Order: sequence, then C-alpha cells, then structure tokens
Amino acid sequence: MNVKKHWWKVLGVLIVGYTLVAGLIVPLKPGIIGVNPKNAKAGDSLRIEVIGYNTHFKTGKQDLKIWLKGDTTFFLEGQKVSVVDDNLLGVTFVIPTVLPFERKVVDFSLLIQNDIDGPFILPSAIFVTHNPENVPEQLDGWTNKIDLVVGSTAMAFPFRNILKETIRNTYFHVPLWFTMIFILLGSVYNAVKFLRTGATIYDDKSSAYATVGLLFGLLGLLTGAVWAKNTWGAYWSFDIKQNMTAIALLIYFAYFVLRGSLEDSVQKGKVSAVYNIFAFVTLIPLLYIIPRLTDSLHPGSGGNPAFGGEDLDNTMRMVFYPAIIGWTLLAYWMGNLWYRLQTVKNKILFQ
Amino acid sequence: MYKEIWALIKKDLQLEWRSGQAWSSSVLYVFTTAFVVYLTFINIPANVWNPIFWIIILFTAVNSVSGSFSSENGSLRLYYYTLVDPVKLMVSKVIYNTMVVTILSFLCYGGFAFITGNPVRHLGNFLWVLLAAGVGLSITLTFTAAIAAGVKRKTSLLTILSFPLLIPTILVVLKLSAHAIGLINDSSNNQDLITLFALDMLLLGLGILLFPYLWKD
Repeated sequence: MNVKKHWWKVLGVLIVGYTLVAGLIVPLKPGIIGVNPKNAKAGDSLRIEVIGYNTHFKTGKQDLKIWLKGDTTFFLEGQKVSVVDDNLLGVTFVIPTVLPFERKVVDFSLLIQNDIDGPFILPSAIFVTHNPENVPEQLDGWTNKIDLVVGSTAMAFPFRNILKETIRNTYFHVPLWFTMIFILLGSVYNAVKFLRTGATIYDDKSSAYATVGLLFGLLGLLTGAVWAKNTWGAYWSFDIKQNMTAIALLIYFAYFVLRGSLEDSVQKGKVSAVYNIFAFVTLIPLLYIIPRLTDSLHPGSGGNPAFGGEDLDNTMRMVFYPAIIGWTLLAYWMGNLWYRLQTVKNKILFQ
Repeated sequence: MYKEIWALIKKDLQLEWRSGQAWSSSVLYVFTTAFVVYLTFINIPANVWNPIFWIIILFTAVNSVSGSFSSENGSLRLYYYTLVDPVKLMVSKVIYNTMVVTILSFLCYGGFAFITGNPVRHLGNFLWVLLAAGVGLSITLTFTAAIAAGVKRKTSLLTILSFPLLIPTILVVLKLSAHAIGLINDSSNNQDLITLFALDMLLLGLGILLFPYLWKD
C-alpha cells in the first residue's frame, strides 16, 4: 500500500482521535453553579451559600477572596468565609444601607478568586433592593479597585452557566454540520461535473457523497437534540433551525426516493443531478437565511451572538477547528468507500 | 423570442380551453376544499384562517401544476425538442402555471372569504402576497413537475420532491399574509416581500439553468 497516497486518511483519524480525547478529557474552568439565597435588602447582613464547580475552595483557602461586584467599578468584600469543602462555602456580606446605583433593584455579580483557580464570576448572582432616592455622595464600605490573581494556566474549557459540561458538544455538533455542508458541496460539484461530461462515475460519486452527507446531517441533528434536551429542556424545542434542518433532511431523503424510482441509469443520473443542485441551492436559504428572519434559540440568530467573541475562546478553538478538518477528511474517505462499494456491486450485477 | 414564448403559452391555453376539463376540475377543487374546511371549522379565527388558506393554495397549486408536462411525452416530446429552445419552453410553462396558480388563488381567496368571512385588513398587501406566492409556487412546482415527468406514480413523487423545497416560500408568505391580515405588526414587511421575490428569482434562475439538462434525455 502506498502510504504517501493515503496520508490524509491517517491525518483524519489522528485529528478526530485528538478531538475526541481533548474534547472529552480537558476539564472545565472553575465556575459558580449557584448561590442561596439570591435576594436581599440594602442594610442586610447577608449570609450566602456558594456552590462551585471544579473549584478549589479548601485547597486554596489561604488566599481565598470573595466580592460582590456592582457594574464594573464597585466591589464589596465578603467576610466570615467558612469553607465546607472544595465546592461549597459560606460567606457574609454586610450590605450598606445606601447603594451607589439609581435603579431600585441592583444585580450584583459574585467574584471569587484564589491562587489555584484564579478569578471567576457568576453574573447577576444576587439581587439587592434599595431606595434609590438616597444615592450617596460618598461611598462607605466599597472599594473601586481589587487586585486579581492569575490562576493555574493548565488547559481548560470555559465554564458557562447553562451549558456546563455540554459545552464539549461544540466539538461534535457544530463540526458535524460543517462536514455535512462540505460533503454535500462535494456531491453538488460531482453532479455539475456529471451534467457537463456525462460520465457515470461522477453520478455515482455524487450519490455516495449525498449518502454520507445525509448520515452526517442525521448525526448533527441527534447531537443537537441531546444538547437541546440538556440546555433548552426538550429534544425538540420548535427552534427554527431544528425545523429547517428536518426539512433539509427531507429534501435529501426525497433525492434518494427520486433515484430509486428511476430505472434508466443515464436518466437517473441526469434527473437526480439536477435535483441535487436545485436542492443544495434551496438549502442555503433554509439553513442560513430563514432562521435569521425569526427568533431562534441558537447562537447567531434572533439577537444571540454568533461564533466569535465570547462563544469560542482560544482553548476551544484548539479543538474546534481541527474537529472540522478531521471530520471532513473522514467523511470524504467514507464517501469514497461508499462509492467504491456501489461500483463493485454494480459490476457484480452486470456480470 | 417573446413570440415563441407567447406561442407556447397560447398553445397551452388553447389546449386547456378546448378540453375545459382541467380548468373546471381545478376551480371545483378549490371550492370543494374551501367548503369542506368551512364545514369542519364553521367559525375560523383569523390566526387559523391564515395557515389553512395557504395550505389550500399549496394543494391547489400542486394539483394544477402536476400535469403540466404530462401532455409532452414520448414522440410529442421529441417533436417539441426539435422545435423549441428548452429555456423558452420552461419560461412559457412557468408563465402559464403562474397565471393558472394566481387566478386559482384569487378565486380561492374570493370563495374562502365568501364562505368563512374575510379577515384581510390590508387588501392591497394581501393581493401582492398572493401574486408573489403564485410566482414562487409555480416556479418550484413547474421545475419539480419536469423532474417527476418521466416517473411512474408521479403525483406522490411530486409532493415529496416539492413540499420541502416550497417551505421557505411558504414560511415567508405566511408571515407576509399574517401582516396583511393584521395578526402581527411587522416592520420588516417590505424587506420580507423583497426576500420573497429574490427567492423566486433565485429559483427561476436555477430552473432556467438546469431545465435544458432535464429536457435533453
């Protein structure tokens, strides 16, 4: 076997292996799952319980510091910290009677840091009600400046409150979609080539790639449904992208029904190539234009942020981008295998 | 070029007119469906009226366009192939089907509104939507009818092939007509209408580009 010719298959397997291992083994950064109670009045001496995730409250107790953070500049330090274990602690905040904010209910973030974990934050952790008429001239009990430490620099994925561990699905769900689009693009490319040249190998390749594309579409839908169950609460959330995806898959199922109902191989090739191109072009408004017209739970539509800024940090990019390349290589390989299998079958049939 | 297209449209019109059966069956189909829907619902609130109306239109369109290539089969097809340019044939079919679908949907609107009451507030808007929908539906359906022309069990295949492709059009149309009915107050109405026409043009361009390959075999 000529190894030089097959290097990309090895590369694909290695990359997918790497993304499986790194994507599942690298821990999440420390975060705060929740606090209890969540509401307070100005002037209270508020005792709260903090539940952490992947945190080291006990191990890093010496330099553990906790603040309530209002807007970007006001910090109130917590007192009487009692650590139960690495993921549970109690802390008291003596909330002043006057708060430096003009709204009636002020949301405070909870900021915790120690030398091991570094700083981490729970946005809108505590809601404090006060009388906004007494906005003070001077601020007692508040600091404007705190010193943040740098925690452990080991590789870790970001902690997001709703996502938690499911953030790892980013390396499977999203790359599977990318791969589906790439492999369907390959299918369309071969369909165009078939219409131009009339050589049946292009038609066979086109249908093989469409088969693999459909498989990846189904996998993307399944991983998405599992993710939706864990974050949105139901496997099928009537999200516009889920619905459009189901339709996109119906289009490709129809493609195979069409192929099945034509007998003459040249006619089959031509008709299905034409439908393939038509279907792919309508797929683009289905998946990328229509979902943007209405609200969606997905990132990137209905005002939700798309990929970029805060959704993918650098540690995630180190797994996410290779995952796309790896799965695409595997899909291409699978498509070629399927194509060769069909060719062999046809040869046996016509003997 | 226009002359040829017009001749083809005239031929289709004359054929239909002479047989008369297809036309009357389509019109009857519209009214029967509308009446059956009325009998099952009796009182139809506006937010239900909208989707039901478009579902009736969808089925009417599929029903009336499904046969548009059945007359050109076998030797007649070969005869046409030597005689006319496939692009012109496609365009003539699209124009003819658009006329049929639009007329039928106007009739359907009239009939349905007559029986169930008319919830439409912005009539001008609604008629534009009917027209844009007629164009979109008939382009996609003409194209899929051409694909399904050479296949046995044509009607069910046409449904399988065309419905998923029609969804983008139908969704935009539903939103636009909800605005015309006054169910939602949509500030991006004109933009959506442009999106719909752009979608129509995209489908038409694709159809024209790909139809010659279908016709050749």
